[in-house]
Amino acid sequence: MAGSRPDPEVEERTRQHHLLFWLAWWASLFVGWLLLVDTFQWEELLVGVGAAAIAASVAVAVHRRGYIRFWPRAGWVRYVPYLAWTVVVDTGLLAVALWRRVLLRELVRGSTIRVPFYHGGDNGRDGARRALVNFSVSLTPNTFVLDIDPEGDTLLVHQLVSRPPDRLLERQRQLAAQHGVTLRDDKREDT
Amino acid sequence: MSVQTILVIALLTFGVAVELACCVGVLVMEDALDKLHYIGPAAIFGPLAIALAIVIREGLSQAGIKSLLTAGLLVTVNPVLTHATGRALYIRRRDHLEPEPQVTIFLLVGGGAPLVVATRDPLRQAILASFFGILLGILFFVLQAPDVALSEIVIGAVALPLMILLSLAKIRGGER
Amino acid sequence: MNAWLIAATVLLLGLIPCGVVMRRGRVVEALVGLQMAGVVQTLVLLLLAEGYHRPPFFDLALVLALLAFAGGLVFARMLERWV
Repeated sequence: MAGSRPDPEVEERTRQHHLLFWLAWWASLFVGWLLLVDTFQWEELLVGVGAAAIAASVAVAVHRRGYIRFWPRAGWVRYVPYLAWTVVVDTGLLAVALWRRVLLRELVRGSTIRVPFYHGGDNGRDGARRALVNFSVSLTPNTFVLDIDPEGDTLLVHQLVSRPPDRLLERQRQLAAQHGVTLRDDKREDT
Repeated sequence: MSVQTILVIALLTFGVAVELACCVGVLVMEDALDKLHYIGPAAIFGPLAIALAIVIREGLSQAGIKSLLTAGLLVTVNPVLTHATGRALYIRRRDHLEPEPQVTIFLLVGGGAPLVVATRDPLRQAILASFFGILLGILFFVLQAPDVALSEIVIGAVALPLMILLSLAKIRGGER
Repeated sequence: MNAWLIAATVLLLGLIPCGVVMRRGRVVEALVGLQMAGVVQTLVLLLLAEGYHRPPFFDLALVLALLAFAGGLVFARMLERWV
C-alpha cells in the first residue's frame, strides 16, 4: 500500500467499519447463544455476552488480516429457489439410479465433466463466487465439485446421472468465455 | 388419531425411508465417488423431515429450535464435506496413491505405548503388553524386517505374557 | 414404545450397510461410509431425544453434527496425501 502517513479520515472510516463488523458478529452470536440456552437468567446472559465478545474479536482480527475474503453479491440470492428445486429433481434422479441398480441390476456409473471456469483473483467477489459455486454444485445431490483448477481455469464436477450443465454451470461458462477462457469442448470423462 | 399424529408419523416414515435408501445407495454403488452422491439426500431430506416432525410435536421450544439448528447444520455442512471427500478421492486416484501402512502403524505404536504404561492392574497390563508386542511385530514387518518381526511376535504373543502370568500366579498363590 | 423410538430403532439398521462398506471397501470407500454413518447417528440422537423426552440429548445431536463434520474434514485432508 502506497503512502507513508495514514490519512486520518480513512483511518476513522476503517475504525468505524471494524466496529460495525464487530457489532454485527456480536449480535448474531448472542442471538445464537440465546437460542441455544433458552433462558434469561442473568448468569447465562453474562456468559453469552462474554463469549460472543471473544468470538467477535477473533472474527475482526481475522478480517483485518484479510485471510478470508468473502463478499457475495446480493443478486445471487435469486439462485436459491432454483437450487431448492434442483435438489428435489436430483434426488429423484438418484432414486431412479438406485432403482436401476438394485432392482434392474444395471451397472450405474458416474462421470466427470470439465466446465470452463473463470478463477478470478484473490478478492472478496471472486472468492465468494468460487465458494458459493462450489457449495451450490455440491449441495445438489447429482453433482459435486472435485477440484477447482486455478491454472487450467476449469471446474471438475462429478455427476452420477449424465446431464447437460445446468443454469448455474452455464452461467459460469458464460462468465469464463467473457474473460477469454475456453476449453476445446465440454470434456466428459469416465472415472 | 389427530392430524398432528398422522403428520408426525408420515414425516418420520418419510425421513427414515430416505435415510435407509441412501444407506443402501452407499452400499451398492460400485465406485467410491458414486457412493458419495447418496449422502446428499440423506443430509437434506432426512434431517428436515425429522426436525419438522419434532417442531410439529414440540413447537418452537428448546427441542424444536435445536432440532431445526441441527438439521440446518447438516444441510449446510454436508456439501463442504462432500467436496472435501471427493477432492481427496480424486487426488489419490490422480497421483496413484496407495494407503501407507507405515504412518498408521507408527501412530498405533505411538498411541499404544502410553496405554500399556498407564494401565495399573498387572494382569490387564500383561494383556495389553501382548497386544502391543504384536503391534511392534507388524511395525517391523511393514518396515521390511520379517525376521525381527517374527521374534517380536513370539516374544510379544507368548513368551512375555507367559512369564508375567507365571510370576503373577506365584505371587498370588503365595497370598492365598 | 412410541413412534420416535421405533423410528430410531429402524434407522439404526441403516448403520449395517455403512458398517459393511467400512469393513469391506477400500480406504476411500470406508470414508464415505463413515460420513453416511455420522449423518444417521445424528438423526438417531434427535429421534431418541424426542422419544425419551430428554432435552439434553438435543445438544448431543447438535454437537455430533458439528464434530462429525470436523472429523470428516480431518480424514479427507489427511487422505489427500499423507496417509
